[in-house]
Amino acid sequence: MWSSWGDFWDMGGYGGYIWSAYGAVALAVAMELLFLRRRLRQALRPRRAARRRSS
Amino acid sequence: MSETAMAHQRFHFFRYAAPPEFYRLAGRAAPWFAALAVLLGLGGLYLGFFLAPVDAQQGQVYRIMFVHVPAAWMAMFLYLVMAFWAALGLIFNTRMSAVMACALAPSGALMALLALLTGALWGRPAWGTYWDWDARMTSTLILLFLYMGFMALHSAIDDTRRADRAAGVLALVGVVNVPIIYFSVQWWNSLHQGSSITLGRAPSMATPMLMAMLVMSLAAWMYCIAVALTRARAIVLERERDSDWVRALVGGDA
Repeated sequence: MWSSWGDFWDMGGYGGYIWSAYGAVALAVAMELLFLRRRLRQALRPRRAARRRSS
Repeated sequence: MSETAMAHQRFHFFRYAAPPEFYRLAGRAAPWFAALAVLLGLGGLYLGFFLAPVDAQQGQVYRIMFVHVPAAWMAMFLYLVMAFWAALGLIFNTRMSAVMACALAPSGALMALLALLTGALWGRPAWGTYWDWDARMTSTLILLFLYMGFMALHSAIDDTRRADRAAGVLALVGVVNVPIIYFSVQWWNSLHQGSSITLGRAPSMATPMLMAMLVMSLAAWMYCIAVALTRARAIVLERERDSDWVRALVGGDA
């Protein structure tokens, strides 16, 4: 279907739009997972440490 | 506190047992949904980029569809689920309902943002413009604002229970926007193309394209479930910070 990887990345001249769209999705997912992990860890932190951090 | 409120709390003490149970079950379920999301996502990308043929009218650029459509569907659907939980919370005053509504809002906002972004990147080559103030796009932008309004209102009110109620009412009022988004391409003239899939009608799309879109949508579902469950766990911990079970779980000085 694709004659080469160059052909694949070019996407018939639309590569810029397509890879920007997929890049935005990948970035958004990565950011959400990062923030989520941080939030869960924060919530699981022992109370003393949590209080010191918030004050 | 009024006497009835006291009695209400005393007789429904079993509800206090629900959050730790939820925390445990969600912690066990989330990794499975996450694994399914990864597998389906990889499968969907393979279908979308290596099996689905080029589109006769649009060329290769139509492949943005495989993220655009799932994001748009999830943005609408998550709003309905969020409003459902908000309604349950308002009617029955159950704690976990409001937690679920709060856990869904950020994911829904993200999906709406991605639907708009990927739509703009598709619109430019397909229609010659990134943005148009037509019904479909404007109502999707309003959906994003509703999610953001829900989160902003909730975080602006210090008392959690009152925040749950106020944000819950906002979520319910905003439900009217979802059918507007969905039917906008029928009700108004729009740059946006009509539905790619309508229930009860044969899809107007080549099979591998359709498969790729459905598999990617399933992946988005699994991803959102995994993320929402995990976020709900964090919210439960935050809200029940002073309870015995969280103290026992987290440790440190009480």
